[in-house]
Amino acid sequence: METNLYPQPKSEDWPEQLPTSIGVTRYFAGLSTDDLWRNFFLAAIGFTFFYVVLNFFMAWYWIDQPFAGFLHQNRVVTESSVPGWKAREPMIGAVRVEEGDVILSVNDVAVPSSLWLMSYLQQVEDTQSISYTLLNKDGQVIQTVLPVDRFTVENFIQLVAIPFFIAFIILVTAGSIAYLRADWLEVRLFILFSLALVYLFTSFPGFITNKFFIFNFYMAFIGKIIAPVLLLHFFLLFPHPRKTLNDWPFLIPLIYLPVLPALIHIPILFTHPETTRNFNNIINGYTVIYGIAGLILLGNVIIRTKADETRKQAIVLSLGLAALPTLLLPISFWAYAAIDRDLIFNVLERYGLLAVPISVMIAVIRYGMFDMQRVYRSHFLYLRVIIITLLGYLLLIVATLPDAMNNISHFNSGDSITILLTTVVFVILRPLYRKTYDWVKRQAYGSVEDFRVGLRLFSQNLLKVQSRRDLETLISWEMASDFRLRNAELVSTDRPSTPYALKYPLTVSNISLGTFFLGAKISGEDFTDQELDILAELQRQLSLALWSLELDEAIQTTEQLTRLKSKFLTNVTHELRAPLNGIINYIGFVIDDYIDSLNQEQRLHLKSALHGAETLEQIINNILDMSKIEAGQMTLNIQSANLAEIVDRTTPIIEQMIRSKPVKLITEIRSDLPELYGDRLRLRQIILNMLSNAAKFTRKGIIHLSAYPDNGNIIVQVKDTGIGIDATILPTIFQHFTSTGLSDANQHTGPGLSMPITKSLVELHGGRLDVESTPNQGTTFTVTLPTKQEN
Amino acid sequence: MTTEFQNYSALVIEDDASGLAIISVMLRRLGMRTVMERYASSALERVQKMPRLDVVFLDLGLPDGDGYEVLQGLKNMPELKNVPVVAVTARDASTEMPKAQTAGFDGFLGKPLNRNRFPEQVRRILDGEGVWEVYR
Repeated sequence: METNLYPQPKSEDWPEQLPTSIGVTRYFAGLSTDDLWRNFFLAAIGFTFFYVVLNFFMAWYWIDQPFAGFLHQNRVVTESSVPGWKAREPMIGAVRVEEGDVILSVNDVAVPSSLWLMSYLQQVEDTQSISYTLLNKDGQVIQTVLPVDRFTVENFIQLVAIPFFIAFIILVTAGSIAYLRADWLEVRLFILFSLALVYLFTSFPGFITNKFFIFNFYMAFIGKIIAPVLLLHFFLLFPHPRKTLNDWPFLIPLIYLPVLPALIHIPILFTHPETTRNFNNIINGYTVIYGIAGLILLGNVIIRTKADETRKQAIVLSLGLAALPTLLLPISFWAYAAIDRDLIFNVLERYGLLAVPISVMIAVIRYGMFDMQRVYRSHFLYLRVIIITLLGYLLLIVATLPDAMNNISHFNSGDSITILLTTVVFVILRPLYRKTYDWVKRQAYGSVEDFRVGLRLFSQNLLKVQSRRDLETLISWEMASDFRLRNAELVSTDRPSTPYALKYPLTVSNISLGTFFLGAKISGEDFTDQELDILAELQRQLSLALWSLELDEAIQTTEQLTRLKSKFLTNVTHELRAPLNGIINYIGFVIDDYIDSLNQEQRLHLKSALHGAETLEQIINNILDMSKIEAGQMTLNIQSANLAEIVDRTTPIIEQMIRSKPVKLITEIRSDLPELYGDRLRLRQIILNMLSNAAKFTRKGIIHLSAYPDNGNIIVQVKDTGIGIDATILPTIFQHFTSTGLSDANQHTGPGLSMPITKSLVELHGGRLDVESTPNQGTTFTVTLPTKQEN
Repeated sequence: MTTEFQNYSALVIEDDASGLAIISVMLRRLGMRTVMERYASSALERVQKMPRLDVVFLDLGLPDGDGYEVLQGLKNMPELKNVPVVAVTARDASTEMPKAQTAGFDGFLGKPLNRNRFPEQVRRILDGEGVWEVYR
């Protein structure tokens, strides 16, 4: 049976009108978290696609242009001295430059910095050769002359086309999955998407953008630092309930590990001032640590978690992250065997250093593998990560400044300014962003609007709730962010596990159903009266929802029991009827065959026995019918039925009953009755019950059955001149189990179970059973049956 | 004892001995020749040995097979095409009767059988009229 007890969100409970003045506002107000999530994907994929194409065509333009592109790697010649980090072996044309070599001069001009070298190389004429003076590790000075290369199509393929196609395939896959939108494919989609995004941001070839150093740097910076943090922010602001790993709180500190490379690097800055320019290594260090942390978490999830869904997600994540680069490696070797393999390693290294860890980090956070059940906690976690990252930057700057002062020739103003700018931007932008966001939000909704939208979303979600546990999860996960509160909690006791600002006891008819706690608003403002009104409405809805959940549970249990009872009775009655067949008929055979050889007393005894057995038969039927009606399992076998025929087959039984009394049975069935549809067996039962009830309670006079059409209905009326029903009993005769008897009634017990069953059967046919009675004058039962029966 | 159905012949397929006895007493009272069978598996074989068959009374719950399967077997025999098959059962009539109707039974008598109405019921069955009744 379908129960529909949840409080439906009525349209008037929703915000009367969503703000219509600003189109964008209206758009966002109508979106659910899932829609936002999806749109975010689509927008990001589109943006990345644009970036891929831009990258491709900008590089295309450089074909056949003179370039010093490969030489941009030479910057690391003087910068590869971080202990433990093995430098690539950079080439200047055919000359292999050893680690520790320093380019002293080109064309007899001293090289002050690698940045200068880069711009110098770009300015040299097309055919001009360049004379390098190198200082190697052993202190020897080497002279070498090299031509300036042109950017060839092969270079283009190696540097741009291969990464382009890898990124393109990733993008297309991500886009397809986004379009298909199978639920947990989102996980894979997200990895693919972040891969493409990060990869693209960091793969813009340096030689193209040397003239736009700041642009290039910031692109990489966005890809490596800003994007993940913003994404992180996004996911924390819209937390989504997934399986959580409550078992692994000790893994949370892993998220702070990114600060480690900064801490390692800072002392080195003092001993090796030239490493200040090695900003990439620091960033890569961060990302590697993120990656390791994420993979450790994933590994742990796979091995230890008991939640099947979480394990599946983790396995997919790891497979996706590990399988893609592993597959790329042999494929690219096979496809580009003739090409410099270093480049392929470059691609993979970028993937490994940046995309994997960032994807893992985001996926781990997005899919709740940390214990971040409380929204407020995730906000704090996020803030702490930001603060620690900023701290790392500040330390870097502090460490750089004395070096810049002491050794002006090695000072790369660009790098330091970049760091400084980044920090300032971070420090300024972060609160600015928060303020702007809040302002836009306030302009768009007002803070009351937050609550209205929250209430609407909550009402929608309430429809999906199946159990109290669902409701508790919904509140602690969704509600806080929908209402922009620090936290929200529904508990059965009086104690919340988090600090709270408001407390709402939930009761229905003085029955306590739990307590509802709300944390402060994220904005820190006080609750306004309007907001408190909305929360009062929420309290009402929650109470009703909880109450209906409890009722639901009770109803389900009862229904199950009723069904079981009905099934049991069906089996029992089957078993009872077989022996009853023997009892009734064998007694009957004796009465029929030997009636003349029995004396009066024997005859009477046998007839009583037969009567008892017949009563028993009726009791069995009544019990079964009653239990079916109660369980809602009484079904009708609707066919066309001939009322006159049914009555004809019933009257002999009644004649038999009134044989010894001065009672006359008159049946009057109009010949113009419309066609009747019904269950023949049950219609017969209805008529038989009414007639035998009349026969029982009528000592003398007439039992009059009439059937006639009336206004599209068929009326069947049984009127007797019997003892009638007492006015005090009359209202109860259709109630189940009011009488003490289960069979047909006698004068003392009232009409028994037969009449309630009759009434139910009539009502199942879509009809109505009425009774009128005057004591000592008679009773009239009237059945009104519709002629058209929808099956 | 009447001789109304003197030359008629009935087959009763019923596993309960008492049920079998009751129905055959009733049939014999009508003068009908009665063949009794307790197993579904040998019912069809028994039919083939009978020189004449006018009506079959078939219990729905047999120990070695379902009454509905036996019905299908009977209905598949061309010589039984016009022989009415009546379901006799103690099962709940309101659920079993529609099933029997769809399965192709020609009648349904709920247990306990009503000995007073039985002759009339048999008469109607043999007249080709469907009889779908319970005790009362």
